[in-house]
Amino acid sequence: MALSTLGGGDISARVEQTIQRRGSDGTPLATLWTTLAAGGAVLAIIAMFATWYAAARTANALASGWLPPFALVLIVIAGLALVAKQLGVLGQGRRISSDLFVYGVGIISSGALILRQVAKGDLNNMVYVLVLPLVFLLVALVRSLRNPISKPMLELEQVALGIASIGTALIIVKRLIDSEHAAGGWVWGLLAGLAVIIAALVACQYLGILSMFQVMLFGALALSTIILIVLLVQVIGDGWPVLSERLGDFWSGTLRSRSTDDRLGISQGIIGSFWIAVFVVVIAFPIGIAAAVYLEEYAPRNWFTNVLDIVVRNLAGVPSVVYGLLGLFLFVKGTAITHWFIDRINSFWMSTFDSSLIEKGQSTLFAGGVTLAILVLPIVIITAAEAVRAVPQSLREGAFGVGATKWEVIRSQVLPFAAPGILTGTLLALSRAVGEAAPLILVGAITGRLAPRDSMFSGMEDFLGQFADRFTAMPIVIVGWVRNAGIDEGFGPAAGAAIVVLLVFVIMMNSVAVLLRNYFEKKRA
Amino acid sequence: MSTVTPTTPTDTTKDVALSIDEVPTAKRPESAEIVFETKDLSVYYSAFRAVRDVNLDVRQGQITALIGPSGCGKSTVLRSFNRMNDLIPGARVEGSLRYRGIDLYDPKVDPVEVRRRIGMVFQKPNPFPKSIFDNVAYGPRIAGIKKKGELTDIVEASLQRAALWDEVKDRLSASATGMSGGQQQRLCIARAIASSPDVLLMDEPCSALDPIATARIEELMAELKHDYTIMIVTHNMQQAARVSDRTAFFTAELDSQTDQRTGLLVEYDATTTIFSNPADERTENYITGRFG
Amino acid sequence: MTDFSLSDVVPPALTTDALAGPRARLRKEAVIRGVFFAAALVSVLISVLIIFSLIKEAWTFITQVDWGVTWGEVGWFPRRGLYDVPTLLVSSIIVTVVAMLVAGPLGLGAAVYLSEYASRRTRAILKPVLEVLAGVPSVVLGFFALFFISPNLVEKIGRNGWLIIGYTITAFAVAGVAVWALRAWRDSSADSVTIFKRVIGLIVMIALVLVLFLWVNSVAKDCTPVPGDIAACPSDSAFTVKRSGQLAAAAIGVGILTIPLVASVAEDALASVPRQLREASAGLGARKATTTRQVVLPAAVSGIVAAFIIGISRALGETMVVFMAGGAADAARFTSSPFDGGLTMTAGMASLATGTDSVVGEGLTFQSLYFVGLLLFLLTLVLNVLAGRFVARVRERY
Repeated sequence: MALSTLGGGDISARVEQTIQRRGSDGTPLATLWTTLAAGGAVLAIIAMFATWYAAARTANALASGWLPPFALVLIVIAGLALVAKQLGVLGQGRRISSDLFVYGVGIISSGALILRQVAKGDLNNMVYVLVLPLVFLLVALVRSLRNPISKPMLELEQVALGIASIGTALIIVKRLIDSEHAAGGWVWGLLAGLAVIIAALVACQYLGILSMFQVMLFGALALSTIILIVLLVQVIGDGWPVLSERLGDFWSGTLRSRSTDDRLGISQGIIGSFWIAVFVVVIAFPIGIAAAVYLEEYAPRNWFTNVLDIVVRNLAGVPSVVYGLLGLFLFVKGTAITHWFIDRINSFWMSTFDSSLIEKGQSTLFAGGVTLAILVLPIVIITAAEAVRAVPQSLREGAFGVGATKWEVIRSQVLPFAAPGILTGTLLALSRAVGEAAPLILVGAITGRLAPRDSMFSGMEDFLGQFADRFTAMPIVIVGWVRNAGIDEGFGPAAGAAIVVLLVFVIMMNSVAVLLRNYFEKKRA
Repeated sequence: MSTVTPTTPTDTTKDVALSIDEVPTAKRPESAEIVFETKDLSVYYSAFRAVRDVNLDVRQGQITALIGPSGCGKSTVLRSFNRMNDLIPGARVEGSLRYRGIDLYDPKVDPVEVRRRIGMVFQKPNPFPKSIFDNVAYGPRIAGIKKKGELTDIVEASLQRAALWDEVKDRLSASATGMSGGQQQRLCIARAIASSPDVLLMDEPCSALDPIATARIEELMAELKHDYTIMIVTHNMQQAARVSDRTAFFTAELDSQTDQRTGLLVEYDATTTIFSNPADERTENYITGRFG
Repeated sequence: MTDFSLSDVVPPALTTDALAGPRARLRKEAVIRGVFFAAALVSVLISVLIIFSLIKEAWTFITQVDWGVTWGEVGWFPRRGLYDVPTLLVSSIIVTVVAMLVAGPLGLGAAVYLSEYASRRTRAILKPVLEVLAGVPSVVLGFFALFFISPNLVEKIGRNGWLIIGYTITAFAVAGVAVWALRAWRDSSADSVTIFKRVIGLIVMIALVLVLFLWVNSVAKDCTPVPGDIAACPSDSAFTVKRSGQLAAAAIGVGILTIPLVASVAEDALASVPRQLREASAGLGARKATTTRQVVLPAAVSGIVAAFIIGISRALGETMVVFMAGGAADAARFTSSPFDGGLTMTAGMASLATGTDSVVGEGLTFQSLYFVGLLLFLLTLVLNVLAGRFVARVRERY
């Protein structure tokens, strides 16, 4: 057998066993799926009724009138039909009539609920969430009519239907959780949500296109997507009012002790993050790229190179707090040795620029910047090394063959070819550095009130002096405000606004990096 | 370094193989200067002996072909002539390899210098992802020639020599990767020539090309041997017979001690002799197609 | 010998020195190589510095601390000299476990789907989701955990978890009984004795399920909530609780952060399974799900284990989410409940450093910081090395 020759002897045996198992009815696997399906359908039925009941008790808009219970009854019947179909009570195979039945019922009931809200002029109701599943049910119905031998839905439609169902369920859940007056209603709501999810899974299973397994896998992906969307929506929603009201002031404001202070803003955070980015670019990028070039081009294959490789990889896995400990140790607290170094650096800096660079015993921007550069260095090395490794050997040989030296080969062939990959890696590293907070906290970035500098541009001395001064950065500002939000609620939205600004930068940098990578991959191919 | 005199190839007919009596004395293989001389040359990759006991001498102005079945170390031997094997970690050489009397593997010798005199063309065309001009100008540039005028002259001369000028003279700034395989390989030849090397090593230069492109390159080789010493590794016996003056036949044998297949030189003689009257039975078997 | 046209081209007699190359160039190459080597050594230097700094300060702690205060104490109160390490350790473990419960299935599921099932179009649209998630800074997740996950999810579930579980089990029990009954009904080959036994069995099962349902209900009703005990029995009305965060909320946030990492390592592992194995399985007539479950996943298991270990290491090392949403400020009492507030090792370290810009406290406060840091460093080092072994195993096989 082909598989066993590939060394998967036991694998081929298991494959064959499973293949024999899959077709037959009454096997443990089939019973399990069926129980899950039926359980889901039953839950759906119970939950629908309970939802209606609980909602009716709270005079929820959904409840009044005859339509909602009617719609819900229809849905229940559809659910029962599903169950019966699943158990084969209604006969085997797919039939257009039963497809029409399920689709039609779903469309009619959700359509009715939506139309009812529209007719009442109530445009701000959760019911409109049902629009998405409605649309897809319509599409599925149309396709089902056009193709008597029902072809599977486009995968993207399935995707959308899955996301819509899960999203609907979660929104229903949230809505019902929030209705604090319902007697235990939220519990039913949670069950309703679970039920809708399982019903969606059952529907997909019923449609015969996807296996439960695939649907669960897809559910994982869909859930991740939904989490991301919810995250972004919630964060942006919280911070948007602040931004829309006073964007200019917010941008130029500073750290304050009260959230109602008009001068509250993120300028110090922006400046701090900016300089940290500069430190990272100036320190980590050259050293990281050079180290990568050494590892890939120059290093001989001996134990020492292996050690270097291991060291770099382990450094990349060290938690960011530990780098903060290092920065604290080296640049803020220090020991006799580091103090000696600092004195040397300070005297050099002083002679050139007439101001001090590092203050011993105090948190400084310098300390924060260098610490983050150190944090990011292993990442730069690893990504740059990958990019260099991807350079085809034939290119090097061609250059060597014409008598180029090692450095000439690297400079004229290897680095240009690897440049896009290196660029992508460095952009990603930069966005990571800008978003890090833990090391900065350790090094002593300010979270509370920070006296603002007069201006970054009010003179060379002031400009240079800021490196030796206390500092803050965007993530730190956010942390500080979030912590204060327990006492002064207004800091919450402010933190949200700051997060929006930070996210814009980070996501922009990441997207640029990914787009660059895709662009160059396409160009190369 | 001497400069290349641009000549326009007008007569592109192939050199017809001359019988040994028709060859003027000056061109007789035995009397030309020795460029390479190896004595009991063995090449190792770490513990693995890839090829052993190679004894041959390569003469100026001739094309020497290395033939034999796969895996018998022909490419390894070729690459040792310009120290390209240095790029492979663990590669080392035993025995002696002399280039014009100098031990090529003397510790004082810089491989970079070696490769500026001994150029190489590879099996799969590997033009740089740069323009045609920059590809050819690469060698001269790293040799220190910066003036645009000089570079242009050298590029034109090399492309002429490689029989590529007419096809690309209008698009020298186009990317080299956009050309056909045959054109790319001729570009690589032009690139190698542009550094005015003494020797041209060609590692199966036509194996990735179609028959027409192959024929053009074989024509080119016949032209080039007037100015360069050429060594070529080829799988194609007929090509060796067409093109080369001397041929070395390699084979691989199982070494009973190490249990590895090690390549070795079986016979090295004038091409006509190898193909019409080989001394060794193994050569004859290979030539007549009984194996390989 | 006179017709030689090659004589102009023959280079002059060579010497070894001619082939030695200009000294300046060789020196330049050596210098350049040295510069690159120095850059590579920087990483070694950093490692050494990290280890040195950790050990130096932690050593002071180890030699001077009264070991009695590091075990079995009330909690982690470093500024007061109580350094109960298990407090931090247990909280770290709780957070890591819950985080992996989130990140493991979601990350692995997403990776398997993207790798095995997704069409190119779907992949192109949904893979960026993971990449965006990977780029979200941890402070954002901390915000999300504190203001969204904590009130909406954890607080509600925490108070009523048993109720949910109870009702769900009941529902599935009902379904199971129904399925069994329907199957039995469809089985026409049974004789009257069997039918009779089945009916009796059915009645018994329905009775059991009813009992279960009533019991769950009664447990829900009779319980009086104990103030301050968050995980107590469910109550009828939801009372407002001050937003303070819990370990569980922070853990879910950490889990969300870890999803992309687990997914990407798992995807690499799946991609390294050679196509031939999948084709062989399909050629035998297996469905996609079977191929994936029986062939691909077992083949990629080393990589998947590595993905989990890397996820655990990341979850252990995450600071900001717990710092912001973990429900404890400067110090924490010992707790083993995820619904309580607490400090992990990382958040404990961070909280020591906030407030003022220097670490103040009596005695060994500063050194305790490095002691915990050393523990964390060693833990993650071991995990990373372990993960590296598994990754190497994947590479070896293929």
